[in-house]
Amino acid sequence: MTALPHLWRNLLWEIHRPCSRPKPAPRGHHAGTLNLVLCITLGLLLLSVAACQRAPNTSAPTASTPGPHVSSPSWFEDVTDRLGVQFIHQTGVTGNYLVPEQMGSGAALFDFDNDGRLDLYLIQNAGRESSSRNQLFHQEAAGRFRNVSEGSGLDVAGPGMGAAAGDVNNDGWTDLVLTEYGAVRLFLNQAGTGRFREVTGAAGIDNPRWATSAAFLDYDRDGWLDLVIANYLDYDPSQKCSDAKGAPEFCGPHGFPGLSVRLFHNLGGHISATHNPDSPAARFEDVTIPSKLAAFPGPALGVVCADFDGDRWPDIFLADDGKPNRLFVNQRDGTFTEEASQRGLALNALGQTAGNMGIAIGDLDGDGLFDLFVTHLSEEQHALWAQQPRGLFMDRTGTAGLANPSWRGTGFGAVLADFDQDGALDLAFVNGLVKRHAGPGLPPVAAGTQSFWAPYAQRAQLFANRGQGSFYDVSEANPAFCREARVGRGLAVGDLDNDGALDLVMTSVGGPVRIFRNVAPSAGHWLTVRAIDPAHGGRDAYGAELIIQGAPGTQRRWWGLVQPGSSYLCSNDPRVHFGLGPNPGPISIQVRWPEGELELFTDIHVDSHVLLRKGSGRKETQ
Amino acid sequence: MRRSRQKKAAPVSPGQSGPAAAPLWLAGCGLVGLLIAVVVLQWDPRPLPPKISVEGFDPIVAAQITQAVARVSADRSSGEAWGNLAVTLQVHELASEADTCFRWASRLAPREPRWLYLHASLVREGDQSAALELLSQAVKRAGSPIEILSLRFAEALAEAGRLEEARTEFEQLLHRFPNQASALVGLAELDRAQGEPARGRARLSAALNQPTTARRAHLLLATLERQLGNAENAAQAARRAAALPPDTPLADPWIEGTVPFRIGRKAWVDRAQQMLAQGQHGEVDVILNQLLQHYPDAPEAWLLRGRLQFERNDCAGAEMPLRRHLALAPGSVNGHAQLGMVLLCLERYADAIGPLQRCVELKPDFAEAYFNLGFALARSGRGQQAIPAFRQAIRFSPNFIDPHITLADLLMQSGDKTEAASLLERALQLNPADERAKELRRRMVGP
Repeated sequence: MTALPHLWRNLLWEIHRPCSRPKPAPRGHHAGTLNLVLCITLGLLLLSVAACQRAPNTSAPTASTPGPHVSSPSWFEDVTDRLGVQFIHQTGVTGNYLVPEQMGSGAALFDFDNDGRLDLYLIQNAGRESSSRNQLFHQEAAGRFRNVSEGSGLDVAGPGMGAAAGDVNNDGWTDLVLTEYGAVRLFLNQAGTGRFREVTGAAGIDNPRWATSAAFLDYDRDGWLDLVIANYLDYDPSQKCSDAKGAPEFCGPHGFPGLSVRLFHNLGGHISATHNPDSPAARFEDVTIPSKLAAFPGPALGVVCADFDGDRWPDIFLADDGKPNRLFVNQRDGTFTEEASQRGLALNALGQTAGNMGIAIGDLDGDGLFDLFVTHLSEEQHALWAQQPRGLFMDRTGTAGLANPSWRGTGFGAVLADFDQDGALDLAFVNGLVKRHAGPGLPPVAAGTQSFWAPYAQRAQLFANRGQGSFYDVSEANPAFCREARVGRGLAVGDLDNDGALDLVMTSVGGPVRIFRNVAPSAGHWLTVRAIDPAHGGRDAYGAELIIQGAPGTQRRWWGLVQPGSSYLCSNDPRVHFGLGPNPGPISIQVRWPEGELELFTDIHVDSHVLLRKGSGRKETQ
Repeated sequence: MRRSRQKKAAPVSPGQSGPAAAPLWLAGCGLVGLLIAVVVLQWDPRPLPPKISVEGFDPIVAAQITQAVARVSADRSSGEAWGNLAVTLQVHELASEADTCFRWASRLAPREPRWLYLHASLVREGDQSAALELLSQAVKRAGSPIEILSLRFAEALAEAGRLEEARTEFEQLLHRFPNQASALVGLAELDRAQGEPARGRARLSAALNQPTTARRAHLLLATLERQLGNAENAAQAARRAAALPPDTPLADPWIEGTVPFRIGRKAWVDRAQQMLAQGQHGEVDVILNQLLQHYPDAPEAWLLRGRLQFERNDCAGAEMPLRRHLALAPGSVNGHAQLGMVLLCLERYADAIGPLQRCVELKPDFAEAYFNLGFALARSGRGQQAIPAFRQAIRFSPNFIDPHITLADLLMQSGDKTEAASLLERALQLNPADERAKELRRRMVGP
């Protein structure tokens, strides 16, 4: 045998090192022990040969350690079947690798008949000629859902993406906007009859591009909800892409220019009311150019409207895929300026762009200022932008413990919500690849997922907040939500069963919708608040900010926003949920209404659903 | 373990180890010794290259992978061969196989930091902490600082939230490479994160004019100025950033060393597109020659050839490749659009109408194609037919200023001053400094 080079001796030693050395044999057992030693040696040698053919594990500790509560009780159970919701998302004919096929679709949680229970709208993406139509489910008194799609007017087919719910004509009934690849459609609620009437063209809505997320806001504070549409790419369906082997694959966004966001101003305050059923009771004008939004196109996937600079006027934040995010700050004169870079939201901590997709908004550290979480591609890290001071944001992903989770997915829908009522917002998001999974190790794919989409499936993730805005991974402890892989896209949040705990609705490409009921052991008290303005038909006061002050002498505050539009392609429960931890109440809520007025509502008992009417609280000075 | 051994030893009792058992033991020992000898003589501890199926790959890529594997087989203890195989697999998206090969490469070349660095670039996508560990090992191996390696390590630390360690690394890098612009920006980012915006702003001055950092530095400056309460300075820095071209990537010899590994149809097309976007026409030419030599019927190669000629202002030379492209890919939106533009460039307006009409049939929301179609129609004397094309261009792209102006001009000629005025107003909202819109408005108002 030739002498082994130094390196190989080291290698051998390292591989043998874990094995136990044979102990000295007792006297009288010499021959047997020798035999045993020889056999063990032979075995070790053979093992070494095998082991040496495997790659060394040079370095790489695997990802971050699990959180401290991995064995804690699960927070969710899958109740989809029990609730009677049967919906499988369709993308039409697969195999053409058209990018819009893989980007939708979302869902809307809204109470269309004002019975106090959330209903559910689910969107298909199979094209206009398809028999797969969008579905409307009404929640019955017993909590089960009944499919009421037929004849509702919302049972339309198309390349559906997302939805935004809001009362555009201030009649007290929530209307619906549907976004599609190539269109936006407005449906007016016919006074809770379960019927909706499409009024898109007559209402002056024309958005012929690839619309993704949408949201309502009252940007001019005239009391009428305006509509902002996030548009994605100037996509060319004839452009084909392939993987390394030349097999067809979905194209990424980089070869296509981004588009202008569109802003539609609600003219409700400027037109005479009409009771003519043949004419629309909603009218909009496209103010994209005069508002100065047109000057900054981009590939937007997510949108959130909130007051980012503290001037009490709503601003617009857009998550842009592979480009710097945009923040349009309201100039209070009908125009906006783009200030994402100035306010620290355009790029991540390293000054880099990322595949920005879904947006979650909430106050993570109880300082009374909201923060933002934006999902990214699996090769990037998601971003958490903490706000401090008001109007300035800092990428705190690393210090929040989110820089290196146990694994990274391509995130879409995201939600910040206090699932266990401990007073701190937790984080949930869904994942699903945009390129086929390469290599071994596919997680179990959820039943019902079309085989074409299986290689794109990933598990959802759930993180618990330690209380000051730092997180630990509780995905392992939540198998119902996180174990099976889906091509996750939409994630909507709301208290479906009105038990004070937030539930989740997950949509996926080419798979069944899933509803997850919150069964987390409660770690404290809760409150849900519906804030309405009787002067505007009693509709939800989108844009209102709610502040609950913590115990006297503490800086702790709870912040909430009446704004259902966030996550990705979804419209959430418009009520604001607070997990209050051990705070037993009664509490006071300060409401900053969208028009700027401040009111204080006192003596509110916790563990209840509260309705706050504008004008019925105690007015406060600014 | 001890208990287990005692159990096995127990049957060897004095009663069983009598004289009759001795020959059996001797034979056993001999057999075992023989086995050991066979194993030792046969055993070659050097790793075997992974088995890689090249089925389905572009033949050029398959041959490249096969050759790289063969080089490893020929010299299994060569870190270089393993590293080159790893890079080959990495660039062709065989990540898990590349991962294995990088591990061997870095082990077999224990003084070479390059494989650890490239390995980090591979695993970073899935596991940031693993990438950080690899970079850390690479830095230790390198001994004296290597600019790109130290920078990436510092950035990875910052990204992981290990801010103080990142600061130390950036400072060490600056000690070795004073005024290293990316390190200055990195430190300024840390200053911002640690509540020292004034210090960060002071650092940035040397990075504001460096081509590798100018845009990023201005963006960061905008944030720092806003943090310092200087709203106007912040807005000014943001405007400057918006006007700057993208930062030039910092020279990375190790990553650049992987470029020759990127061969085959897809890689060449990607590279040609990248070079075309950077205006490196000579290099595009070379790549396209190579591409068309191996793949004469690749439609994307002909499209790129046509585009290259167009960008070189050789409109006549662009027509043939584009027609060849369309013959191979008749449904190509881009092909029809490019051909339409080339014909406009050649002032063959009537000829341009056909491809542009086909273009908007294939992609009915293509604003730029509608504009070009309107232009071709107007120049062909079909002004009334041009009007709807311009309207469509505006509808699909309201931020597109040119159709506003051209349509306003057409409408003025046809006497519709009201809509023309509205269009000009919107054009000036989009760009208040647009001279064409101003001139038309002056003409409309009259002397």
